[in-house]
Amino acid sequence: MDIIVRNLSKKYGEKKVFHNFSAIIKEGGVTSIMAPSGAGKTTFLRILAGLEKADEGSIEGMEGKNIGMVFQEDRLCENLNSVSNISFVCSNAITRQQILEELHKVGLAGSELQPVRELSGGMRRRTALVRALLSVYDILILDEPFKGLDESNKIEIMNYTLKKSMGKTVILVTHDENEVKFMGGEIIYMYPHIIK
Amino acid sequence: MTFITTDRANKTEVKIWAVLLWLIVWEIAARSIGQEILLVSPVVVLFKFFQLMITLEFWQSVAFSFLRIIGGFILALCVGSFLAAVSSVSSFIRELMQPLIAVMKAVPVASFIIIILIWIPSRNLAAVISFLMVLPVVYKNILEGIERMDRQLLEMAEVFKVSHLKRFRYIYLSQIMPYFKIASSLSLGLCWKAGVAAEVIGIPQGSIGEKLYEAKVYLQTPDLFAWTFTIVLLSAGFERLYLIVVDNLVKKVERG
Repeated sequence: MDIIVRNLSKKYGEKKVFHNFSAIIKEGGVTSIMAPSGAGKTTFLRILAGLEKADEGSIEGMEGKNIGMVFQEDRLCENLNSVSNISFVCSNAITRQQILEELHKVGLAGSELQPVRELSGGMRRRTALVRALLSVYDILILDEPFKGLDESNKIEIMNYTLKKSMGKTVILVTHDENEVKFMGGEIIYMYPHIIK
Repeated sequence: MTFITTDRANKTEVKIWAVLLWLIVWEIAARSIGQEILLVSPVVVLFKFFQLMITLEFWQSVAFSFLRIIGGFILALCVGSFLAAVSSVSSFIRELMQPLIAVMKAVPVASFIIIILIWIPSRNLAAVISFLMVLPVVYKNILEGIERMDRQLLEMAEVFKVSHLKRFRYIYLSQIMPYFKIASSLSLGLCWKAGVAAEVIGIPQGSIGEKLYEAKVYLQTPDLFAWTFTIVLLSAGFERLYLIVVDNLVKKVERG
């Protein structure tokens, strides 16, 4: 089922974040949302994830769906290593060996047992990405997921993301047009208070 | 979350050379005064301490005071943590607790001791006083820890539908633990000071406080210092042991 967003409005106090925002997000494919800073992309994702409520409007197609998410921040448990951070959100069906294999695929071999506070920004980002991809989800929400990754391994990570999320609904927010092109799918342009 | 960096921890660590220097100053001062009743030498204190240690009465007194003071401390840890958890979700409970905690913090320990002595026999006075001194420290620190909890991690757990047990183990426990440890460290010193003070005033039979009182009445300065040394050892030793146990427990729980 597609996700249908109708006339969604959100404001903080007197400040309008977006107004009458409508969109259709196709099921089982990638939809990229592009907009200038402050247009309310992250707020929209937070509403989709159920972390905030819209002031007006409705969203259909999210009921009872499991969500996997890469937040704008890494949101990792600092004292735990990458494996524990991932198993924290995974179902028991995912084994430690599987987690290790996935971490190796994104270039984290050798550092998977270090507390994440000791990892570099890029390594933490990759951990957050693998965590979302190994979680149980129907809809994958990615808020600037490739931010902080080296250009050299970004393509590899994007490929990995596409492969792992194949057939699932993926909603991507990014400022980078190259990332949007690479990930493919639909594009929604979001401007302050307007949606095209 | 780290509150004291290794560098800072090193700077606040007690150095053996400094302890030895102060012991030498103490020994010189005692010899200069030359009157044991005014200032006893550290060597004599140590000798007296070993003399006391080989008596059954010493261990009975230690057990008597230890059980009550630490009993009050552990009870306050449990009650304080529970009240802080409830206050973090109920503004009514928090507002209700506010004046109570403020009074507990402001009232002098001597006033508490005398008031409590009217109500209960002196035998268990140290436990009640220890509880009253520790409760506000634990409550305030744990509540602060809960309030400073990383909301972003809780949101993450919410989105991924992580079980409450896992949230408690991996998020709440590790984030509140530094506050819990600070509260424990602060209140362990406090409960021994207040607990023994209560015993000195209430003079329950067979307590360390009674021994201190007798030493004062009969001007037995070496006994007074030896018992004080005992209290310091008990307080510092228990604090160290307690923190090791808590650390290991947390590691075990986090590892599952």
